[in-house]
Order: sequence, then C-alpha cells, then structure tokens
Amino acid sequence: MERKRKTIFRILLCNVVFNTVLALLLTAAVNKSALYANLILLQCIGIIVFSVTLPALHLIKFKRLERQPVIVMTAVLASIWLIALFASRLYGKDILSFLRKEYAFAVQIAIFNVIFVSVAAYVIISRNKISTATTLTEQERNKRLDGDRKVAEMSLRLLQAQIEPHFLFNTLSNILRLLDTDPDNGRAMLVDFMGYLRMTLAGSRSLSTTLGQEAEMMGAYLNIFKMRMGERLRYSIEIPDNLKDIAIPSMLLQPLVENAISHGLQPKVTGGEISVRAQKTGEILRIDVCDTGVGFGNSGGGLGTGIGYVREKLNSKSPDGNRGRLTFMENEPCGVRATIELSHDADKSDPRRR
Amino acid sequence: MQIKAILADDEEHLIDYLESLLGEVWPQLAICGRAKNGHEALELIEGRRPHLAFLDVRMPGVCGMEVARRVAKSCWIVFTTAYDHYAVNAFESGALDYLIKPVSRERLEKAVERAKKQLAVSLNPPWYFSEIVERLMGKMEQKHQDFLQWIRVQHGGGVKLISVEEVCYFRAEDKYTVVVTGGEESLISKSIRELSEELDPSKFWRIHRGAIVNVSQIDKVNRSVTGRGSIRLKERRELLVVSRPYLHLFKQM
Repeated sequence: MERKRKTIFRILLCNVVFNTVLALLLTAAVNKSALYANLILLQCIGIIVFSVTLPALHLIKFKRLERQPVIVMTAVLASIWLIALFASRLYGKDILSFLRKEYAFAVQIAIFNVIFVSVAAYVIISRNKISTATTLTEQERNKRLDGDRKVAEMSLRLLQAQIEPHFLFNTLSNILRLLDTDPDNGRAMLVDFMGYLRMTLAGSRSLSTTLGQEAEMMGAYLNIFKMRMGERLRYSIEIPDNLKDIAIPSMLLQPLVENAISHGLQPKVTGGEISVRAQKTGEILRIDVCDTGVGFGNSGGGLGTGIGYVREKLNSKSPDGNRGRLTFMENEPCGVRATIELSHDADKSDPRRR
Repeated sequence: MQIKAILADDEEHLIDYLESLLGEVWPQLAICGRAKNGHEALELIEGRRPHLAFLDVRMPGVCGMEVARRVAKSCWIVFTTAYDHYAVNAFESGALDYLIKPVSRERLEKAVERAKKQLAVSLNPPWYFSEIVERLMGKMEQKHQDFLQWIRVQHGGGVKLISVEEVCYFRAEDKYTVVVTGGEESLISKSIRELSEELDPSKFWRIHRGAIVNVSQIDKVNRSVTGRGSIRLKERRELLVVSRPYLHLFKQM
C-alpha cells in the first residue's frame, strides 16, 4: 500500500517536472511574457492527463496498483485541477476559452503528456518490480540459510538428547553388572545398545529412513529399557509388513518413545505399557506412540528438544514429499497418546520405485 | 555393634551390583532392605531404622532428595547418580557423599571409609545434616520452576494436550480464553488473568488487556507514527494489536 502510494507520487512528480520544463521552454521560445499562464496551462493539462492516464493504465496493464489508492488519487487530482482553474481565473485568463481557441496546441501538449506519463509509469513500476524481486530472492536465500543452520543445530541437539548421559551411563552400569552375573543377557543388551547407537548415528546423518528401520531402532531402544526396568515396562511394536518400506523422515519416533518413558513411565512406581503402532488409511500414514504413564501434566517439564525437532521436521516439507503433524492426546485410562500423521505421496517416496 | 544399611534404586541390576560390591568392600555391613522406589525407601527406613542409606537421586514416586530430606535426622546418607551435572556440583560443595554410577570399587572404598569414620563419631547424623539436604534441594530446584507447560482442551470426545510452545497467542473471550496455534483455535475455561500468572513471563508477554503472545512466535513488530504497535506472527495471518501500556516491552526490538 505504502509502496504503491509512493509509486504514484513519483510518477506525478515526474509529470510536474516535465510540464514545468515544457512551460519554461515554451515561454522562452514563443511568448516571452506569459510564463505564469503557460505554467498554469501546462500543469493543468498535465494533471488532467495524469488523472485519466494512470487509472486507464491501471485498467489495461498495471493490475498491481490497487484500486483504492488510484481512486483516491484521482479524486485528489481532480480537486487540484479545480483549484488550478480558479487560480487561473484570478490571473484574469479564462482557461476554458483559451483552450477552446487553442485546442490544437492543447491536444499536442496532452499527447506529449500521455506519452510521458505512460513511459514514466512503465519505467518506475518495472524498476520497482526488479528491486522487489531482488529483495525477495535475497530474503529467500537468507531464509534458506537460516533454515539450514537451524536444522544442523537441531540435529546436533537431538543427537545429544539421544545419547543422553543418564541413559548412557545407566545402560553401561547395567551391562557391567550383567556381564558378571548373567553374561548372555549382558551380551544381548550390549548388542542392542550398539545397534541403537549405530542407527542413531546413521540417522543423524541422513534425512530419511524407512518405517521398518525406525521400528527396529525403537525395538533395540525399548529392549534396553526393558532390561533396566524389568517388570515395570511392557511394550509392543506393531508395524504391518506392507508399511515397512515406507520412507519417513529420520529420527521421528525416538523422541516420542523417550518422552513416554522419561515423562510417563519412569516417574510411575508401578510402571506401565508402551505401544508403537502404525496404520495407513488412504494417503495418510498414522503412527501412534501410547503410554500408560503418569501423563505430561504430572511429571513436570515441557517438551524436550526431541519433540521440538519432530515438530520442526513435520512442519517443513521434507525432500521426499512428506508433510505432517504431531498431536498429543490424553490416553485412556491414563498416560499420553502421541500421534504423527504424514500425508504420504507413495509415488515420490517409495524408495523401490525411485 | 553391627551397622545396618538400606539400598534404594529403581533399577534392579544396579542395586544388585551395589550390593555385591559392598559385600566385598564392607563385609561386616548388614544390608537390611532394598527399595525400588522412594515410597519403599521411606517405609524401610521407618521400619528397619538403618544407620546408613544409599539413595538413587532419580527414583519414581518420591525422589532420592525428598527421601533424604525426610529422614536426614535419623540416618546417614550416600547418594548415587548416573549423571547429573547440577547434582554433582551441588554435592561437591556439601558435606554429603555421592557415588557416580557405574560405581567403581575404589570410589566405593573411599565412601565406605568416610562413612565408617562418621559412624564412629556418632550413629546419628548431626543436627545440621537436614539443613544441608534442604539447601542442596533448593539449589537443584532452581533450574526448573513450575510454569504451565501443557494446556488440556476438549477435542472430539478426547482431551488434547497442547504444549505452550506451540501456542501463537491467547485471546480473551468473556471469561474464557481462546488458545490459538498455527493451525487451530480452541476454547479453554481459564481466564487470561489466570493464564498470565501461570505462564513463564520470559516467554509469554501480555500485549493487550485481552491478549498474551508467545514471544518466540513473533515475526515482526510494527510501530505506527501515532505510537500504536502491531505484531505480525510467524504462523498466523492476523495482526495483533499492542496497547500502549505494553509497548515498552518492544522498545529494544
């Protein structure tokens, strides 16, 4: 709006300058005594032309000029013209009768003006467009750089959250104990731990993975917690075989499962259940992570870094055409249900078809 | 006289591990009970009257710190923790002992030496022991104040949980409040005044009698010549008006 008003004023100013110069030239070349009359006459013609040409141009081509400011400007200019008319009467010259006598001259001036206003409008508006386009591309680039940096920071923090010291050292302590008393289980836990670490590191380096791989990783992760928490944790992972090859953004599930354990089950004396399920209806892939823990409101603390990361990932359109959302609902009778919904374009994202 | 101790940790293998290590390092010690959570630890200490308690800092039910606070007058305490930056810092400045998991034999020997010395002087901890625990708790709690984190809204027969971080702004509507996120609006029965008291004031600013904005969701603040302000949000199209009394918040933006 601001910008359009400025553009119109600029064109008007050009026009006024143009007519002033023209009036000076006329005075110098033709009738040396009538500077004021010439000035008033030419400006009047200029303003009439301007107030007609610009709306006309707007109708024909420059749709970008919004209607309202153009109408306002026309009204303003019309009143200026009326004032000019009175002013000319004060100088003792009836501009209308003059126009009637010298209409051929006035028409020439008017034609000059039409051409000038059109050219000026064209030049000024296209220059504006170019500069807008440049700022837009620059903004776009900055945005992208900003986005890249944010993603990099996020994945670093996510990685830190995934191999969080408590998890790391408690797991290692457990393995240390089991290797003495129950070497088979100790080794199994170590294998799960290595698998989890390997998949975490791989996941932090790539943007997408498959649902099957993600489920496998969660299997290892939950196995570790099962070993540590014993009877206090029961879990199930149900991913239908036909969904295992679906590509999804990497590192989506771990933050949800981690949340369910640390804010849901670990604070609860009796522990509970975690279930990870996936289903596909039409184009929508839906993944649920349910727990029967104490619920978010009761464990203190807000969303971890991981959840912020998941939301960020779902909000931004990923390279494989996924876009989705994350919602939290209260679970019955207790705990939390976290749901990821991805609208899934199978053609673009099925790795086997690529 | 035989010294009695209890062990508390929610992870069974870790309790086993500590018990077996203690058996090697301090064979005369009688382990008179094992607790899997804070409640059990409190019951055990109440019922068996041990001289010494090994408490995990993070436990379900009642956390180790809270257990310590309640029993500090009657028994000596050694904390165990896997990794807790704040906790370890706090312990180092205090008179309490702590063990970092996985517990090494050498470190446990030191802790046992120290406990033996203390118990030789007195079987009950000195009167100021509970004060130390109290101060320690104060130090550790500073890092998380309890601001409102989740908002519960009715949603299609269930209860939806909206994280305050997702919220763009809150708008008063009579006695109720509309919670506006990037994608939707929901009505909650809390008033905007109650909300402004419960939200973290560094992240949520009152900008109007009837509006609170999430600072991280602000895209741009415009100030007109007349001194009125308006806020453009990252994920919403509408503009929010900043009324004059709250304009000073945006002075430096």
